[in-house]
Amino acid sequence: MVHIEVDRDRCEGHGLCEQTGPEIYRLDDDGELELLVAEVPAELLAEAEAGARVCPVAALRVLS
Amino acid sequence: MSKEPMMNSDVLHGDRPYDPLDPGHVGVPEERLAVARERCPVSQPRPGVFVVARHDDVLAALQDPGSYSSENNFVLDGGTGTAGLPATPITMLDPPAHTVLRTRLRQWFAPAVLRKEEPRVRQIVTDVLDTLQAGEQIEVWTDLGRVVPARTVYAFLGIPEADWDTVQGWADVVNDQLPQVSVEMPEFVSLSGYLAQLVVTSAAEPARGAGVIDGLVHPGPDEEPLSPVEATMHCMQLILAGTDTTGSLVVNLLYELLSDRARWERLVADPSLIPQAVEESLRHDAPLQYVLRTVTADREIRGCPIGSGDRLVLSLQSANLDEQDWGADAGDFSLDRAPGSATLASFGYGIHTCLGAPLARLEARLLIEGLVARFPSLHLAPDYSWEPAPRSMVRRPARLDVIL
Repeated sequence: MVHIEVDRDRCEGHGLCEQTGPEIYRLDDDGELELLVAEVPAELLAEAEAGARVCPVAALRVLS
Repeated sequence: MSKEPMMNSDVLHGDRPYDPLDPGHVGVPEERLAVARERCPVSQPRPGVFVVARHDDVLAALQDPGSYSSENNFVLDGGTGTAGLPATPITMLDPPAHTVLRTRLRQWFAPAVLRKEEPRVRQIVTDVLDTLQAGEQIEVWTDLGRVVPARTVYAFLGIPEADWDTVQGWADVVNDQLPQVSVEMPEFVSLSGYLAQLVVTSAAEPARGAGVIDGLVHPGPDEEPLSPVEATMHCMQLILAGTDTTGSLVVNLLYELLSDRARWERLVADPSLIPQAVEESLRHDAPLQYVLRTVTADREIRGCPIGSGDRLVLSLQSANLDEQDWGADAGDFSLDRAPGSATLASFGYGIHTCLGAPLARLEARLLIEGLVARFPSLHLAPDYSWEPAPRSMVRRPARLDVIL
């Protein structure tokens, strides 16, 4: 079971995760990050990890 | 036409492969940084100055402001410190003061704000490109690299359009002296005096809800008022941080696209590749080559002892070229590099990550989109040869001559 942990104190809404992993990450109109999946399916794991890596403020972790 | 490495044999054997105070090292750093990563990931080019070269070490240090302070950090030599400055810019603050100021400044650079401002930036690009003719030879740094980022930052600040060229005249001169800016140089005095006047004028008027200056002088319900000197300093900081760097991104990117013109042709055929090209340029040619931190307590990095008060040179460029993170082809410029294959260091990382990064990306994308659409036959001038700009922290060619 793989899921994503968002550090809300760090997230500043840069939106790079959304550009890199649009099937996992979405910024709402207020710039708040929404996760589109509660658990990351195997076929989206690479996208989830790439989205976490591009976060410029280290707010995302992919945990299994 | 390619960039030839300028290596001396001593580099391969020395334990100080990269000296951030040597403009030759900064201008053509690839081989020296490769040696640093491979043989000496924490090197000491000068007493008390340590260069950190590996991707993971650079990112770890950037994430640890308690151990590596930003206070008094901007220049490496000639004495540093904020004593000469009338207020402390955000880049030289640690938490908690940093956190408060960042929360305040970042509201103007949020993606939602940028989406709204995109037509404005596009108009700035269009106005500049409208002055150019197909077949004409231009020098990209002067004709595009300086102008588009400057006007974009001025628009965001809320500087009246009629004053843009005058302000840029001062700011260009100040930018050319970075990071060794003297607060006594006439152009610095003129620029800061102009901004201070604008701050005072804006403060006397009702809030317009538009522009950084207007926002800084009309604090929100939870915000402390800033003194005019502080507001002026933050405006100055945004101008100096957002222009030279973004202009460098533009010239570095265009050089890579045109020196192997198949890349340019790919973008002409498929402009949807442009954002990827911007990311690859940021990685391959970091405009700001390194940032500085001061060690707050004795410690070791990769077994290398570092003492309290020592200075760290975190090589953003080297982090971006680390083969262990980016793969064996990390040194190549590739339009096919998968997004997110490693973490980009060019805008920093963590609490000080560049506030204007989304704006820089937007400007570069819109400018290249405009060039691709209007001047598909763009190519390097026949006698062009790449020479590094004589800068101590920023990397770009001194000039880039192209034919539209």
